[in-house]
Formats: sequence, structure tokens, C-alpha cells
Amino acid sequence: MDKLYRSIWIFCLLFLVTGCWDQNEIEERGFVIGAAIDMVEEEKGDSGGEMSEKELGDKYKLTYQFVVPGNFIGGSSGGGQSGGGASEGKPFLNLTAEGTSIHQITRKMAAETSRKPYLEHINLIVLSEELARKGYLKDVMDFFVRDHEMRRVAKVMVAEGEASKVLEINPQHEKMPVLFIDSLSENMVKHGTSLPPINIGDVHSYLLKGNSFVIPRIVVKNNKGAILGATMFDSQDQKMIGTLNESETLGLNFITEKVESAVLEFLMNGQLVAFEIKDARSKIKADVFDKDQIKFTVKINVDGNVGEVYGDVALKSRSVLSEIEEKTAKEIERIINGVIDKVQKKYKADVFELGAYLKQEHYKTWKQVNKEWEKGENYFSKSVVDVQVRVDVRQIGASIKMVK
Amino acid sequence: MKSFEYGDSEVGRKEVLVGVANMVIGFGVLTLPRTVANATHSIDGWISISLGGLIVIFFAGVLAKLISRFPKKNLHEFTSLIINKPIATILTFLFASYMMLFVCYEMRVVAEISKLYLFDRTPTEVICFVFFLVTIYAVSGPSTVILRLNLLFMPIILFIILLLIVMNIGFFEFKTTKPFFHTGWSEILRGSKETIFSFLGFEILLFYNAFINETKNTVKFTIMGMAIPLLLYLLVFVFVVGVFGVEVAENTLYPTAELAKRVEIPGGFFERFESVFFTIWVVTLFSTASMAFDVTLLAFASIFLKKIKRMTFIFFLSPLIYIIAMSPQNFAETSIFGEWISYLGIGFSMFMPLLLLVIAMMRGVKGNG
Repeated sequence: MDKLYRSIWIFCLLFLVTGCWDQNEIEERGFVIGAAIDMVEEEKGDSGGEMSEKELGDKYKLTYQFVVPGNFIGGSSGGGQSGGGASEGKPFLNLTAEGTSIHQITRKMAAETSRKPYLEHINLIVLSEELARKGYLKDVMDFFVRDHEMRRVAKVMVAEGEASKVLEINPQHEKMPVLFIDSLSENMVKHGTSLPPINIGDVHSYLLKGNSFVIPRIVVKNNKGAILGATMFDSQDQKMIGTLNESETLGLNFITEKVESAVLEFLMNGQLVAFEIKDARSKIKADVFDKDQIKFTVKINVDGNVGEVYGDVALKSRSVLSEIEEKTAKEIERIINGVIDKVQKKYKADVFELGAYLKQEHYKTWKQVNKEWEKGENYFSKSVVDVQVRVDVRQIGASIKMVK
Repeated sequence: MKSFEYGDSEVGRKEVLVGVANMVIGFGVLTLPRTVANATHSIDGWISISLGGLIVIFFAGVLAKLISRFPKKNLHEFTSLIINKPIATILTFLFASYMMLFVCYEMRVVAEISKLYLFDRTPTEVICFVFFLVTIYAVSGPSTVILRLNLLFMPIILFIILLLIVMNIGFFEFKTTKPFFHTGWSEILRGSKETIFSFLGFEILLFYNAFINETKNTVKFTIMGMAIPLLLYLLVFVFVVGVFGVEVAENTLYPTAELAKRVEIPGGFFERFESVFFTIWVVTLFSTASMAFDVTLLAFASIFLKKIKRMTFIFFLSPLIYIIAMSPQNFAETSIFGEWISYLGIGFSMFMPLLLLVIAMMRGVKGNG
């Protein structure tokens, strides 16, 4: 009797180990790998601003890119136009829905597809320029930071124009647009003309710190995507205030020490020289004697090779090499000063993180200027940034001269 | 509780060291970086942690000194010797109640975090219930077994936390930890206060003293046991700040969990490092909860002079613990509950032993061991 009793008990306990509640069949999951968020076009004519309490009309248009595993293996890479629908043979599927909050739209989408959106593998979040300009970045990011499924490593980018277009590009070498952009963003770092990838965690930290920041910018042309330049956000209401083009981004990367490699072109004695940067280190120093005119000295040490030389420049003598070094340094200085000028005078947004540098190294001064760094007294714009570049040519390649 | 046939019902100093360390490392390791960053707003929080840690280690030393004066005796027995029996009974009863609340809190927190990160749809009540069943199973056996179990868990726990640190070295930015030494003393002290909460738990020795067979080095090994969580907390705090920055540390509910989610190694298994981390972390909370439950049982048993069987206590207390654990309605209420328990803990683990030791020394009472 005792045995029977025990057996019944043990049998009952078995039900506890089934874990039925959170059972999720992998076949029923829709793996989302990318998201694009646009603003819904407003017909009423009120331009942006805060949404009125009464009308919770649709505000965002959210596009998720789902993986279609069945088509992943045999699917033709690339594969023509994507209309956003489930076209045959493609390894991905873009679904779009509109709504007021990201969470609600995600739920809505679950009703439209046979597979529940599962966000843990999300790789890329693209925001439209309009959304960024209206300052909704912080609102839409909340969901992605808060949701427990999310990882902080998903990349964030701002599209030129519509964001959903980015998920529809024609991927080359990769099967899915998101994966293509993902590898693109890793590659672009090598050119120095785009920002290194920024992820959700970084954006969260930018928003909390309350400084101006930059996010990579993605441009779609003829169904091809490219990550070019940067989008600037200001510190006060986290609205997009402008963009930096490629060479300006390169200048920014020099200051923030994010150049891994880059190619510079310039003329020397009328001949084109391409200089390949292999390593660039920057060192910032600040003279905080006068807080109305803080003087930053940015010293940049560049190592590199001569990549390409046209004409009859002979790379034999020391003097030619030092001329190349000098010219390169001048060119880099020109690029950096260009971006400093633009950012300091026009946008008054400290995307160089000089404020953060002050906080780290000159805490007392930072406390005094922090409140009015980018507004009011505008200590940032008043500060002087002096750039000193030193270039060393390490290698000249296998040839000395091409033409006699 | 009849003695059992195999082995002895005693534990050595290794078990003391590891038991204390494991009891202390618990929920705190997840939240400590946030609470300290909230108080100090900078990397200087490490001073807070060290300061708080040293204060607690001092009191742990006091407690160890007290119990080593009375070998093989538990709180009820030596308080009877130091003061008198009625007071000893009252104190033990209060202590037992505190320990019981501690179990409730610990269980609730396990359920809460498991729900947030692991079981989206499973009701908290069920997670808690399942966890509790395992705990009940653990305490159904003799106390020494639970203490010995720690020896098994500890290396794994340390390994996983250190692995978490190592995997994040790549993301650690020295720059973000600057500037140093600019936090005011009041902030540092506020940070220390928060830290002290995370170092409680060593009071279990008040009852486990009855099982310790090597009485000589109890003080030394208790302090060594406390040093493990101190070092671990320092390491985790510095890394959370170095990887995420102070601002993010302040505003993330469980920064250490986010650190685990940050780990990114190409290829399969280790991309989901947080699942390994959570598994191990539930294990530490399991040992913490079962030790606390065990001590609760020992404490009640000591009052009732072992007339009532251990299993009877378990059957009587379990529903009570479960109901109390389920009573906070949300995260905020759970935190307040936790805070109360922490204040009680300061009373029972720091001031009560100090008082008892002082009285014992004044009266010259010593155990007859």
C-alpha cells in the first residue's frame, strides 16, 4: 500500500517537470533578424511635435525581416524585387504593420503571420531619417532596451529617407539584406569613412549620459545599400540635427581614435599619391586655464604605407618620403579641421566626446562647464581645438618607381 | 533528527569557509553594481564596496569570535549560558523568524528574475513553487549535507563568474572608468550602506557552529570566506562600470545579467552565455535558500528542545513561507520587503553577536568545550 501511495506521489510530481508554460516549438517561431522603423505619413497636416492625448493614431510603421529557413538552403541568392510579401524562394520575408507603440505593432504582427515574432536574434535596427529628426529615437529605443528577449548588441543605423527600403535591398554575396548590411558595417570600418557599428547598448548609454552622439548612416541607391558617413544627434532633445559626409566622418574617427585603416589621396608635384593608413592614434590634452576658451590639443600619430604613386615619383630618397609624410599630415589636418569647424560652428554639438574627456581628466572644470557645454554659454563652441598630425611612412611597397 | 550511520555529522573549516562565501553571494551580485553606482555615480564605488565589505568582515569576525568561545553550541544554548533561558528563547525565536523571512525573499527573487529572463509565461507562483519543492527536499536531509553541497557548487560558481569577467575583457574600456576619486564621503558612505546588505548571510554560523569540529580557526576561516564575495563584488562592479559606463549601470535593473548577455563569441553555444550564467546563479540562490531554511528549522528545533520532528516543522513552515513569499505584488514591493529583511539582518548578524560577545566577556562566560 505504501508503495502504491509513493508511486502516485511521484507520478504527480512528474507534471511539474514538463515546463509546458514556456514551451515554444522552434518551428513556430519567426526569427526576426532586422527591424526598420518609419513614421506613418501624416495626413492631418500637423507637423511632428507631441502627439495629442486624444488621438492615439498610428504613428510608427514597423518592418521586421523574418528568416524563412526553408528557403535558406536552396534559395537563390538575391532574387529580384521584393514587394514586402512572401515571394517564393527567398530566404527572408518582410512584414510591415503600423501602430502607436513598437510593442503593440509586434503583437499585431503575430496575428498576421503564422510564426510569432521572436526578437532574440535581431541584428539590425534601422530608423528613418524623419523619425530621427523628430526626436523619436529615444522612444522607439525604449522597447529594445527594455525587452528581455533583446540583446544589447543589435546594431542601430539611421537610413537616408525611408528605413524599410533598407530591408529590401538586393544583397550581394549574402542571402539576406540584414546579414549583408551586417557584414558591410564590419567592412566599412576598414575604410575609415563610416562609423564603427553602434549597438543598442551604446545608444542607451548615449541617451543616459546626455551628450551629443553619432550613429552610422545607411544610404540606399538602386537597391544597393552603403554605409556612408554619420548622423548627428544633439544632446538636448536627442533629435537628429545633421549628417557628416564621408571625409568628415573620417576626421571624426581620427579624433575619437577609431580609424583602423583608410586611404588618403592627394597630389604631389601634380601626381596622385594614395597613402594607406595602417594605424592612427590620437592623444587629447586640454588646457583649462581659461574656461571661456578651453584649449584642446589633439595629437594624432599616423603610421602607413605608400599604396599607389602615379608618374615618376621615385621613393628612394628620404626627402621624398618626408614630403609624402608632410603632405599626408596636411591632408589629415585639413580633413579634421573641416569637421571641427562644421561641428563647432554650425551644429554646436560635441560629437568628439571632448566633454567626456574633460570629465575624465579635468573633473573640476567639467563641473563648471558641464551645464552650458553645448547651450547657453556654449563652452564647446568657444573652445579651441588644435590639431597636430605626425605621419610616418613605414613601407613603400615593392617598387621604387614605375616609369623612367 | 536522528544521527545517521555513515560519516559524521560534523563539518570542517573548509565547509565553514565555502558555506559562508556561498551564503553571502546571492542576489546581491546581480544588483550590487546598480545600487552602488546609484549612490556614488562613479567608479569610486569600489571604495564603498571595500569599506562596506571591511565593516561586515569585522562583524563577521566578532560573530566568529563569539561562536568559537562556545564550541558545539548553537545560538539558543550559548545565549542561555550568557544571559538566561527565557531571553535566549525569545532571541532564538526572533532569529528563526528572520531567517524564515530571508528564505521567503530569496525564493521570491529567484522566481522574479527567472520570470524576467527565462520563463516569460510561467506564473511566478509556479516557478517559486517548483524551486521551493527542491529546497524542501534539500532541507529534509541532515544539515551537514547542505553544507557539504557548497563545496561542490563553489568552484563552479567562481569559474562561471570569472569566465563572465574574462569574456568581457575585450569590451572593458579603461577610459569610461575615469575620473577617479572625486566622490564625496557622504556618497561613498551611502554606497557602503547598500553594499552591507549584499554581504549579509554569515549569521548562519550561529547555528552551524554546533557542527563545526575544528574550533580553533573559525575566525580565520570565516574571514577568508567573507573575502571571496568581497573580491567578487569588486571585480563585477569594476567590470560593469568599465564595460557599460556608470550611467548605464545606474539604470539597468540587473547590470550583471546584462554583462552576461553582452558576451559575444561567434559560433553557437557561447553566444547564449547568459543561460549558463543564470543556471549557475539559480544554483547559488538554491544553496543560500536551503541553508537559510535549514537554519530556520534548527532554530525552531532548538527552542522546542527537539521534541518535535524536523519533518513536522517542514510541513508546518513550508506553506507559511510560500504564502509570505507570494505576498509582495510587484517589483517595488519585493524590493521594500528585501530592504526590511536587510535591516533585520544587520541587527541579527552584526549587533546581536557583538552585544552577546561583550556580555560574555564581561561575565567571563565560556563554553565548556
